[in-house]
Amino acid sequence: MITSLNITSAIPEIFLSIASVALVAIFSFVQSKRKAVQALYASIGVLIITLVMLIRNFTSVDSHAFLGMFIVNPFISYAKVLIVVLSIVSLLLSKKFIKMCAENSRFEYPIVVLFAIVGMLVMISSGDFLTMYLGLELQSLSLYVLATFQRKSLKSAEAGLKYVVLGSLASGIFLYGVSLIYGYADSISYKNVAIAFAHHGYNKVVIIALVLVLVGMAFKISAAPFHMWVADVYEGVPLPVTTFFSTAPKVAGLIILLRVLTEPLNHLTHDWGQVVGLLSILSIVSGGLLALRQENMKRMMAYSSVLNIGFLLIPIATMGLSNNVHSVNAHVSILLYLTLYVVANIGVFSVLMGAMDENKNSLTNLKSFSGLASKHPFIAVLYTIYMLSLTGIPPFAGFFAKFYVLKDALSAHLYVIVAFAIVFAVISAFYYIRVIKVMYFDKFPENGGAVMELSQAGLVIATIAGAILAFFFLAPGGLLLDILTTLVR
Amino acid sequence: MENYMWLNALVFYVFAFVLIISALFVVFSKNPVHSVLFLILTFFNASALFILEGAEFIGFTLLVVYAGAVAIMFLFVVMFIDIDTHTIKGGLIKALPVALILGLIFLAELIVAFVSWKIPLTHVNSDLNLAFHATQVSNITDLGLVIYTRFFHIFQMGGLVLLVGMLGAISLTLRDKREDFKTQDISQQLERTYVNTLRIVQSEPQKNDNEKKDSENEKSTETDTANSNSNSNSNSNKDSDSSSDIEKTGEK
Repeated sequence: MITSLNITSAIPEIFLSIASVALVAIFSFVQSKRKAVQALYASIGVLIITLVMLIRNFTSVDSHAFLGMFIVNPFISYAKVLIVVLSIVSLLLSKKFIKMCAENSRFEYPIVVLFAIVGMLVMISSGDFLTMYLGLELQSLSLYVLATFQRKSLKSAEAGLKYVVLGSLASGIFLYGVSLIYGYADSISYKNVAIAFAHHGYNKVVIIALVLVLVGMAFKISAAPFHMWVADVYEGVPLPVTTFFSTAPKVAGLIILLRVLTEPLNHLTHDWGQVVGLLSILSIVSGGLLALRQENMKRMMAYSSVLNIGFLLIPIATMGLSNNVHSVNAHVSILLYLTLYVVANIGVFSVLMGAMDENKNSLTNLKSFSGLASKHPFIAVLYTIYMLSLTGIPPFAGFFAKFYVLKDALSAHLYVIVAFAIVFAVISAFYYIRVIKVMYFDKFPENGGAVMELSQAGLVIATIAGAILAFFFLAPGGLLLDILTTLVR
Repeated sequence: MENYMWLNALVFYVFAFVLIISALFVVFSKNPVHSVLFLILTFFNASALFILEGAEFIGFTLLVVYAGAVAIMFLFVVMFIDIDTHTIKGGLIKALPVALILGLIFLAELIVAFVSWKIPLTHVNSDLNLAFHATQVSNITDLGLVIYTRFFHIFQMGGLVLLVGMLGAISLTLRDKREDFKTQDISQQLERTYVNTLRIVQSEPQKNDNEKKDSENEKSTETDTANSNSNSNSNSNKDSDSSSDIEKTGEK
């Protein structure tokens, strides 16, 4: 029966996990004061090798490993490349934090990031629920550790504790849903579950299972009404960790949500279409409204992520409600939106990391940006680009992302969702553009204004992010769209 | 065989009943220590249910890992940490109405759903249930057959999850710059000879009356210096003790 595990398509993940374990072993014995920074460089090196392997692994057809429990196709490969690139960027940005935390040679931070990436990669190319759950747990457990990594900070501990408790509750709910699906379909592999539903139809138990699975996953991507943890966690954890949290896990969570809904549950489109549509509307509304009153940039970006998750759920809802799980447009618009959203996020956080007061304490309050344009005009321009892009004002990239999402939904006649999306995009413009107003029209405070001390890597990354967002409508936009369309086909 | 069906059912219901009752006591008992003890009882009953269903490996794992290790750790934590149970219970009472309503709604949904469940007992796709179909061999044999072959990557992923758990726990709790660590450097201990540890201290003869006191003073200062040495070259405490002993004999 067992002919071969056929591991070739899983080689990047296997390499990454072996390398991470090896790094743990090596750095446990390294006696050096710069141990933490060395671990950081080693991790970035490992990630770059993984990236090369992933790109070499691009195939135009589906390939399987581990007897179909591990699936690679171009759509998944693109998401994987995106995740690894994001992780490299966020590790590059976290050098200062690692130096600060390394007071007693704690080298674990970059290595735990590596484990989180292993979890995400395995999760999004899983072919059955068991593999997926293990990937999800590996990712979540690593994220819990990262959240509490700054152990002397009370806020970090609080954020970590909230994240652990709510996260494990969500995992439990998800697992209960999966167990009901297994009980009904007598299988946990995506393919066989789909076959079982095709042959036997489904009953109310499956609907409950579907809802439980969706609740668990909605928590992981912080879609409303399961978003309560997100602001506290974003605010409590150190900035490099926030950067990582708000990018890579979101990509992984959304891709796996899409895959779980369109592969094993593809006969339940009408049921999950409604649920995802509701989640989407709730996220858009609560993300739009809750961010209005935030004075802290981290909290604002947290609610902005809830809003954007709402937008990202629209294509999935469209697929469900129009009963077309193989819609190329929806897949492309999700990948496009994800890419542009994380680029804007990386930009915002890389600049935010440079904001200090005179005592080198990190500043995240909106007020501390007042009059920034007079002191640091270049950074102010970059920030303006990010904010306009997040708002969705043409010709910046965010507009195209929103445009494709909404165009697709409109052609499927989802007028209610589109109406909510447009209204709350306008409302969100208030808090995005308020940042620009604070930077350009408020006076720079006489004493105690923000000092911008971006690291070189931070400045380069921020500039690249700004350039991508600003010039997307010229060459890169069409190129990216072409690439994505060919990948998804 | 059929005559024993009722016995099987009886055993099942007894364990299930005790399981539910003790689970309720975990939540509602006033003393947290009692809660943990009831938790252990819950684990025991759950493992009995597993064994009853023929999944003896999971049953025994539950006993060994959860009842044997996790719950005992819980007990330690609960006993060591001073918890104000009143505030916790206050929160419970406050949240109880909402929780009760939500729980009842969910229960009603589950009942409605399960009543209408007609299982398509056809096993169209048996990829996982091969372990449960082969009744000839024991559960553990079945697991052994698939866990390192078919589910190899899952086994490895489980290992990674545990490794991250360990890594996280260590990096969050280990403080390796503590000054009062007593570590033992064995090679240094073995290298010690009496030549470089024995020191002759000249004591003055006229202080005969206070000799005892003085020597004791000297001893304490000696241990002090030895201690400060031990910080730099990590001698153990034993060393300094023995050195002062030698010194005492030398004096005599």
